[in-house]
Amino acid sequence: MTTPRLFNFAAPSRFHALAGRITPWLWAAALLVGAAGLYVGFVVAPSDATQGEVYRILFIHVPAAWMGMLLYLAMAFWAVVGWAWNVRLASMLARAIAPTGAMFTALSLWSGALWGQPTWGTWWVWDARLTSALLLLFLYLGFIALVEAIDDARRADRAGALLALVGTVNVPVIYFSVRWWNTLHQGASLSATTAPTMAGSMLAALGLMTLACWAYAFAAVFSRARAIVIERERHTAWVAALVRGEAA
Amino acid sequence: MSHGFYVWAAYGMAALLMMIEPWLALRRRRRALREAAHAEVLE
Repeated sequence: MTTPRLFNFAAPSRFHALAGRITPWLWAAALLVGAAGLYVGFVVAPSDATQGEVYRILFIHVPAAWMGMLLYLAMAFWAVVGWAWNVRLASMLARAIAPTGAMFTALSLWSGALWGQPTWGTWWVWDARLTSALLLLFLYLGFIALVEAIDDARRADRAGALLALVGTVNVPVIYFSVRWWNTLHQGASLSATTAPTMAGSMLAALGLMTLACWAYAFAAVFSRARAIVIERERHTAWVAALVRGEAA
Repeated sequence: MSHGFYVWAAYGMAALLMMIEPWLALRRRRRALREAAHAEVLE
């Protein structure tokens, strides 16, 4: 039986080359779509009837929160793939995702506090949503610290995968916390089962900023993954050839 | 404090983090290439 072509990209050298070709386009997409999202969010979208201008923080807060949760699931997925099937590249991807996920989670907490102070009258409350989001940040930081603390790369990958897997239970807790508990944080901005209640221009801005964050996340993760691949594969002939080529 | 402070602080931090992260990734890649240049080829 022939190996599916997709598995060809499990080779670190092929991933490094492919990611190198894609990443500049991802950076460009993040910049352009982000600029469009900021234009729609700040120029086209009107002021909110109750919150005034401060609601515009949500155009970065909501996408950042979504990215924090989704990137954690992606990190855990690749970490477990690397552990279960011994795919080195999968573990490298998990390590590459972690700092970007932590960044988005920290940004969601920071922007949420800046939104909360003028609207709720407080920077922080220990309600279920905020507390579980803070726990998500600790899980990211814990993963990064754990894999960096263990010298043997494969042992570090396995330990990180276990931590990432255990931490996945926190992601649905974050998402459903506003339903399961009586929280200060309001419910979901968008629902899969009901029509959106926000104005069309606000929805457009939210969508564009979400796409921009996706493109940014892919670009950042691929950039970091390429560095990690070189670190882990530095004793191979293809990296030696790459270094000679880059030095030329 | 005007609402503008809160909005600027949120987007300002986002912009700062999204400039620092790619720079750190690029720095890591350059360091990795420098170390690889001195590494022994085992395969």
